[in-house]
Amino acid sequence: MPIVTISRGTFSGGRLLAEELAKKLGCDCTESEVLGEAARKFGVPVSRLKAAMVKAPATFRGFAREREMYLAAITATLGERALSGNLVYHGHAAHLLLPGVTHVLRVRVNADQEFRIKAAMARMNISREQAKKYIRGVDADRARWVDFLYGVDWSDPSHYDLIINLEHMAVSNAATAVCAVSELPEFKPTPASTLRLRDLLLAARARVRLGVDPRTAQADVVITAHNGVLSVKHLPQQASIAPDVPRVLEGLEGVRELHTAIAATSLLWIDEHFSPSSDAFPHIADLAERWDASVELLKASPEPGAAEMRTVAVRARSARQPGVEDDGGVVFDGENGAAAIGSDDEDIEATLDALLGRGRPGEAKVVAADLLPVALEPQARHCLVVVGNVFKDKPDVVRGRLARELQTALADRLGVPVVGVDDLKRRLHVGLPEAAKLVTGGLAVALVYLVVFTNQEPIIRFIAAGDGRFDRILAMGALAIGTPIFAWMFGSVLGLLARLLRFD
Amino acid sequence: MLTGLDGFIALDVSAVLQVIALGFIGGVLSGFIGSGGAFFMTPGMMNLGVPGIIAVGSNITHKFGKALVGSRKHCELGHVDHRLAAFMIATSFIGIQFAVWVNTRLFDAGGDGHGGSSGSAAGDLYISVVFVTVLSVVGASVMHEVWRTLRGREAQASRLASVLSNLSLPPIIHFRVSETRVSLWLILIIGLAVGYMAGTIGVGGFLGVPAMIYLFGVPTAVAAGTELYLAMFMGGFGCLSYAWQGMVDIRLTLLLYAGSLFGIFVGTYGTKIVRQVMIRLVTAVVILVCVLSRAVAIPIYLHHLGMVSLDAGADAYLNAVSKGLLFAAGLAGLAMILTLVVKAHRQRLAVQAAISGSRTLVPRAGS
Repeated sequence: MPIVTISRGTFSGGRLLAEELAKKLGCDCTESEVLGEAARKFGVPVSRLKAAMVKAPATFRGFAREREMYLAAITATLGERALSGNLVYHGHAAHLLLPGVTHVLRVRVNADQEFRIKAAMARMNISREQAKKYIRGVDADRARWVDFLYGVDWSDPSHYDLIINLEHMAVSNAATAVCAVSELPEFKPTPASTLRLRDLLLAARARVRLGVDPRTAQADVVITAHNGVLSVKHLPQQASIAPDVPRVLEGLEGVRELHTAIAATSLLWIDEHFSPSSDAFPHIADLAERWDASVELLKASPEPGAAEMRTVAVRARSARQPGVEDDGGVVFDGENGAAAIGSDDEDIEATLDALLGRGRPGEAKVVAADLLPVALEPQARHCLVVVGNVFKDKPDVVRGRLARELQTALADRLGVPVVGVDDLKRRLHVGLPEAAKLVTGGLAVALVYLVVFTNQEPIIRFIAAGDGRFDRILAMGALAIGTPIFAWMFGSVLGLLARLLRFD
Repeated sequence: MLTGLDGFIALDVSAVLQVIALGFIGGVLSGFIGSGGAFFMTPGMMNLGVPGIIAVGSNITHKFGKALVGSRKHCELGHVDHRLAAFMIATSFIGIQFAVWVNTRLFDAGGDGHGGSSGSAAGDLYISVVFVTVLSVVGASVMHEVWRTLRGREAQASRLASVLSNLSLPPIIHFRVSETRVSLWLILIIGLAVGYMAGTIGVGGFLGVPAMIYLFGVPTAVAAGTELYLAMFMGGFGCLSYAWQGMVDIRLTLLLYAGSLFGIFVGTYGTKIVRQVMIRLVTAVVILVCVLSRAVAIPIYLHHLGMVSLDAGADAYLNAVSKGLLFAAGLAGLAMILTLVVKAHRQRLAVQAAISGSRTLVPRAGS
């Protein structure tokens, strides 16, 4: 059962190719059908679904929430169709709707600009200039949309398995070629890719159900599913919805277990070995407490060849689905060369338990170190990445360089601050040097107040400066330089005090 | 032009404590609602008898240092679009310079200010009218948004915002950090308006942040970070401009810091645990009461300019009402914030206790 997604710029011939391909594969799935089905099934207007797929990024949180729900409705419909048989989908950003499902054949249709302009002029009965403007506008909107939601470049060829230019190829021949590629073993479903598809479907269904239920419609949630274990994270500001989440999701098909967690944000901790007794643990746990964050542990396995990231454990408040037997579950397996973590399991679980003991939910994943940072999804909502002791098997000099390179690459890919454990310790730790800075800074601040308020009249005369140009420049310079220095000094003192009182 | 101590009020213990309190409440509001807090501190100082221009000058100098400290954090987090800020800075400086010029001319026109202090009634009237006009619109918009949210409707941009955001008058500039394309003309106009607002009443963020979000399509976090970064330059330029005119009272600036830098920590903590709609509700209530407070003071300036006649004791009475309303707004806002923070904190602790008490994991393979 091949699943083919066709992405294209407007008027590139993607629709023609999709229709031809659907005929050959015996299915007739199009974007409008999926949108129509999603709208009927989940009771949302088709126009809203369409807008969610093409309009510029949402700026209000409310809009973003609505858009997320509509995308989930489309993903759920698409996932159901993909599980039931052949599927050809040629919607916008189609290749991104089922991420991580390895048997999806992602096709990109390109066409010469002239070809597109002529097609737009003929179809829309508009002038050449209007056609050019239309194509440019739609392309820009789509590129922006894809970048906003998925953090990737729409035109990047690395996101596609096959790129076809219809300028010199008949549509029927192109369809035959795509059909042949879709029959290759690489695009046959495997247990792992089917599991991934089921998980995507489950997460999407859960998102839609929470979005349409009035009790949870206003909730900002992050939902993930791994082998039927559904994890719902929401903000501490919305703590009151916590009891409603299990009620709303009760009876949802495919859920083995449900975890709900409250976290304002999440920290990603990358290391080769995790332990509650490690040097890094207290600092990361402290930070998670201060920031109300959940912690994702990512074990960078030195063994190369892991095909994808695997979840190995989750800790959160749990509500097991009534009547569903625990079948032991696949937490991680050797399929597709996934890295096994063997004796580290207990340490990882102990680390997660220690975090949970401090009220911080978390989960652990494993990935081959050589796949970092590519394996990480840019749209994952981490606020900080902490890189621990990685590349341990390398010599000291090489290890330092590789760790720095990894930090730079992670920052580029994820667009969030990335720090090493040592740097984190330095920033959080309040020791003797910091205490000395606190006292010195505090005294300096007090001295400024003392000087100003015991010499009010001369200082004001100096600032008021009279009519002399030189005096005015002097007063202006003193204020422009002195004020920010004082603010910086005062701010630093209060920042240190806040760190000391764990209030930052 | 000021000479000597003209316009600088005498600070006794009560005045010192009141300015620190203004700074603290302004800081809490600033940390909680993300604005500069000037909408509270500037009229508060005017109620203490500080001429409007010195209140604005001292506050903009205070804002300069505060924005410098705050924007450093935003820069680290990648929430600043330097390119966008650079485009806006140029025209914002023109806006500030124009505002300083108008304020100084009106101050020079003379007239008694608040409570009979030496100052410019014309300038104070002008600042108050701009304050009331702009913040009425802002307060009403925020309240409208709260009302829509509480009724379960999604927030939406106005028709004017939709039209302006689709303006494609060349040259169009692409901003990589914000991932948006905006007409240069729109950026320059907004920069000018933000600078004028910051220079006139010390409140530029109320215009700058929504404009960046709704008109430019900048992500909310980047809009807030870029505005703070911009505020640093505008504050710096405003500080230089007002200092050149001798209109900065450094004592007031230092006293504001003494309160505001503490207040920001309290307010920022609140944003982590209080619902967004409640934050907006507090913002709207505080802004609208501040507007009312300033509106009550307008007849005083009209009286001093000879435009209306009032009884001899009316000035003092209106000033007391204005001051009372302002502090009521600040204290009510503070009480609402602290109540919400304590309530949310308790709720959070209860939920965390529940989380800590449970221990369930994904079963391991083969177990």
